[in-house]
Amino acid sequence: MRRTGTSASVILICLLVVALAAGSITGCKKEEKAETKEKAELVLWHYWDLPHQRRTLEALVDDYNQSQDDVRVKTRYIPDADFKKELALSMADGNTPDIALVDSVDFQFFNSMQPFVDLTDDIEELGQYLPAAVEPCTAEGRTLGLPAGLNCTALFYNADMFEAAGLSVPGTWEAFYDAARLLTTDDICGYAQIALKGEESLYAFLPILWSMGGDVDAIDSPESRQAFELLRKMARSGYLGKESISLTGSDLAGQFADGKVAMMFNSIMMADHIRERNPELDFGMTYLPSDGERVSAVGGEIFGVMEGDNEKASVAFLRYISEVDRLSSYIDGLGLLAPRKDVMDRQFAGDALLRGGADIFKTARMREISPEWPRVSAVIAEAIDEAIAGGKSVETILDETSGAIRGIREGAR
Amino acid sequence: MKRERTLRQKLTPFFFLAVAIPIIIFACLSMYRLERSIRASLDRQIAGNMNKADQCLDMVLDKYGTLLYDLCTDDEVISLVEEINRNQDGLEVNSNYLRRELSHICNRNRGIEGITVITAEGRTIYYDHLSASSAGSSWASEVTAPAVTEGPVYEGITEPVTSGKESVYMLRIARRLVDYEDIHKEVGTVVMSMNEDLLTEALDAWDIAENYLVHDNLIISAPDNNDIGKTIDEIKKEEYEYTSVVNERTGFTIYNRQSLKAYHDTFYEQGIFWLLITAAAVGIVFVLVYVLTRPYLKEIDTIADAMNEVEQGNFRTEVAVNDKMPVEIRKICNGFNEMVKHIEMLIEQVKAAILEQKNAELSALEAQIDPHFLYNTLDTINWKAIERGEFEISEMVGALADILRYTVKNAGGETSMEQELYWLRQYIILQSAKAGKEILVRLDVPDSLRGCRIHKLLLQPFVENAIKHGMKRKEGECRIDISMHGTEHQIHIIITDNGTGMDTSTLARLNSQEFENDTEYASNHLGITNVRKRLRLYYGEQADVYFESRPGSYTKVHLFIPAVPAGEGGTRA
Repeated sequence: MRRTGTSASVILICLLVVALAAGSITGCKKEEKAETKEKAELVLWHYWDLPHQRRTLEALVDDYNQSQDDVRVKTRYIPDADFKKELALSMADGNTPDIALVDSVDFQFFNSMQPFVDLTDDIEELGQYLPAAVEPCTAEGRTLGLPAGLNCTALFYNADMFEAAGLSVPGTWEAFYDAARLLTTDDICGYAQIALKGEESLYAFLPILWSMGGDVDAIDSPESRQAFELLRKMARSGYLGKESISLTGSDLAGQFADGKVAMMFNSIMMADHIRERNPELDFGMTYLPSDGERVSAVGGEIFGVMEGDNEKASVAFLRYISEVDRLSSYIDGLGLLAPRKDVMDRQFAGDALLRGGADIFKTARMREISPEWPRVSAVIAEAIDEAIAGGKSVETILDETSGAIRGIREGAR
Repeated sequence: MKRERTLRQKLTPFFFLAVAIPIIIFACLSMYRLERSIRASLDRQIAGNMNKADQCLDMVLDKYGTLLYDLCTDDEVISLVEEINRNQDGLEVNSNYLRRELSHICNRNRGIEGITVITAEGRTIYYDHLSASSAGSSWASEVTAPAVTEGPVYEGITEPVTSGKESVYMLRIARRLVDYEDIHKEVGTVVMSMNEDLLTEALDAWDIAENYLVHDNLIISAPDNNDIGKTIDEIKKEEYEYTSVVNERTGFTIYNRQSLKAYHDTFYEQGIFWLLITAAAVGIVFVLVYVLTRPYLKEIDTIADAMNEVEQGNFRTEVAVNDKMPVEIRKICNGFNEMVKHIEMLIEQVKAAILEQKNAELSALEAQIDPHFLYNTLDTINWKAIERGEFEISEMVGALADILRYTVKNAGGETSMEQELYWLRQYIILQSAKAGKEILVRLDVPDSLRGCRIHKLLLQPFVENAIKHGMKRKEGECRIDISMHGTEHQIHIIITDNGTGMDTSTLARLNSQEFENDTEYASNHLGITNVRKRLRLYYGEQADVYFESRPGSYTKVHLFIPAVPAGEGGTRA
């Protein structure tokens, strides 16, 4: 009995050990957790719609994302027509992007609603920037944005058409009108104007206004009226394409590249886009017509940093893209003029057409820099639209516009 | 006193433990694993459910939030409200236009029960979808603007709105009207009232759980509308698990109420399953123990019964052995059977010895009728014979008296070889006188054997037979030779007569073992039969006798008895 008990106990213990071993094998499965570092995400809003500009921006952002492990910059494209509203409303809702690329003329308007982060002390390179680039983003002596690039309005002309018609490039408004008249056929529009209500419309129109001696704050003056009358006259006689009222800058550049438009006023940065779209096209880019002083409008974009958690990282990104060598490396790709003279002077070497753009820039005048400018601009854009397509007399249009501008000015005071 | 237990009773607990313990350990481990896995799956289910509820809530609110956003940033709506604020609404044209806009939104989008616009100047313009009216509403006109700084503000309403017969619970989303040209300008606030059913649908967790939406500790959406307005503690029940997640968009808390019934049921079922397994295994083990031990126990019982029988004296008992038996049991049975046979034989021998002893004693009694009378008579005859000069008679009578004395005194006891031979000589004298022939006796006995012990009258029957049968019809000299040879343990006695001998068949019978069983023949040779019995009785298997004869020539009797030197051993009689 004792022997039996002992051996039975041994067997039982063996069973126990086996059972426990089995249990421990099944019971102790390790749960592994993969730890991945969550990168902060920077959101950048822009409205660049030209393919080469978007490509260049994406490449720049990719390079930055690869260069460090802390943040990932993500871009979001918002069409120009909605951009201003979208950004303003995001400010109202408190869900702004970290960085916004805004039109230089809108910078003060946005800044008045929600101040941008002061970059004066954070980005050393700003000291080297051209006043024309930095001024729109300067308030009380502080620089609140990083100019991305500059451009200006130029007269684009289809060289083949001019040659075929035996015309030379117009230098005066009269020659311009005649050229438009002569070049207009059933298929071809002699001249087309960016007239889709928005800042771009002003950008194309203001040089005409200024060249004729007009001014925004004297919109109903005879000089100013002359500019509107020119548009009205050309529209009525069919030399100015009626579809202009729905064209953006790049739309118009597309039509020009397709040979449907003989002349246009557009940003010099469209030259690359046209060449890309129709490499065969023989076209030129020159000063706008003038009866006196040659004038063009300065355009450009400015990066603004929004206040928030990612402020520092955003500034770091801007510092990265502002480094002079890097700026040289991408600015040509954007088709813009560099916002600093040393770089601008070295730009587009061997490209006579674009190099010419830099010369035209010298005639460019800056638009008004004020918080109320977008509203003033909107009123004038409305007037341009009305002048081209509307039924009211130019005088009436300008009286109303003048009143509206006065109202805005008073409200701003 | 320790209780006696059978083999089966001793084995059973060990088998029970050997089966039950591993099963119980495995069951415990399995239950533990199951519990963890169900728990993990339940947690995943709850997490998934909460995540889904959170996302669905976001999706619904995103849709209505976008509608509200579009309304609040619509340039036309903004300019309408701004016009109204500037009091340029003499004929209510702007308000009516706005009301139409509101009704369009309500009618196009299911679930929007009303929109109220509260202008910066304090005017309220609304559309009540429940009563399809923008002029009279019991509730839409009463909606007040919450403080909105940026983005939408969500507000659950715990008091139902009654319109007609139905009571409707609402969720309100409020947003500032924003003029993007001047985002800081106060234009007004829009409050959109959503039907709570939309939230219930979004939070629906089918039948696996229930989701509650809680704002400021009060339920604002629940599967059962009666729970709206209660705190989560008020609806808490046993057997349910409560988990919560905060919806980031609204700041509301989503409570998940998960029934633990299925979880407990599974656990319970698994427990029962293991119990049944254990019971079945233990049952099988019991049956196996019973079935496997039964044939052995049966055989052992048979052997035990047989032992009892033997104990009772039945030596005929035999345990049947067959090939189906395990070899161990077969060995035991065979051994037992052998043993019983052996015991039986021994007992038979003892019985026979006792019987012989009794017979001898009886014979002795018979012979002791009155020896003194016989001696005296023989003495008288002796004197009469001497008186008459009959010395031969006197010698015969003297021999007869010696013989009588020798036989009567301690008959069957032991004596010395010397005395036995002396007595034999006396006997032969008498026999030769009786037969009327002289019988020569030749002894060839070494002196060393003369002192050896021998049972009385052991040689007499052979001498008697030799005279009676061998010399009856013998002509000429009659001789009896008695020679002895001794070895260390045995004495070989040869009694030879030169009588007529006997035929081979008689010789064969006498030497055969069946001789004793042949009753008819044995009665004719009673003397030889007796000698054989006595030999067996005295010496067992150590003594033997056989006959040798040639008809008309001689007869030899060879007798082997153990050598017992003088003064050693003792009689067994």
